[in-house]
Amino acid sequence: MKKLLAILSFALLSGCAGITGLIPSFWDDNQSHRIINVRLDIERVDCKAQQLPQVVKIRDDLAWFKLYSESKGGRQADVILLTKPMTETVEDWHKRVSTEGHKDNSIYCDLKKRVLQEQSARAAKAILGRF
Amino acid sequence: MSLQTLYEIAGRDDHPWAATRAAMVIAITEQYQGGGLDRSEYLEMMQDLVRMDALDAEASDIELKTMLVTAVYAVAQVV
Repeated sequence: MKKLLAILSFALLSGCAGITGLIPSFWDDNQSHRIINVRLDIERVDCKAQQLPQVVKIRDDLAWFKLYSESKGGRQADVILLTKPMTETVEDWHKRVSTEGHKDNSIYCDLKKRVLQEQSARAAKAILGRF
Repeated sequence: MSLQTLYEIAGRDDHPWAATRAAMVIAITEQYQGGGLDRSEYLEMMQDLVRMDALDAEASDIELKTMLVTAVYAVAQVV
């Protein structure tokens, strides 16, 4: 019966994604800790203060998450894909505020913060909800 | 889609994710129209909202796989 269940789960999961995404990633303490760090970095963004060092902090925590997941190897493709949109959002922000002569715009910062709050909350829910 | 339609979606209680997303589009568009954002900032923010959809899809995929693994494990314990 257990063999049958294993075959059944294989068949069900293969229907969700291609063969490379067959098996989901599982719970990981370090990934869970780091994604909450990312959320905390975003929550603490103060749009009246200089933006660059705050964006660098978020960017570094996301880079840590990606490097750790890549180093861990197989079956981490799902969480790397999950954080990619957030990384792109932060990269655009970083590129803008690190341009020479840039002047911080607090309205842009407030909106970027709102988008990232939403993105990171969704990502954290998926990462912490794993088996 | 007009801003009026977005206001209607933002006010709905039955789909909170859609209401949140609509509220964001409204906030971004209003800031652009009012001069709070320049064109490149506005386009970048809109691109971020598209990215949010990609993130939603990936998150739902992980959650579904987790549910399946959990269900199979639970059944295996019973059988």
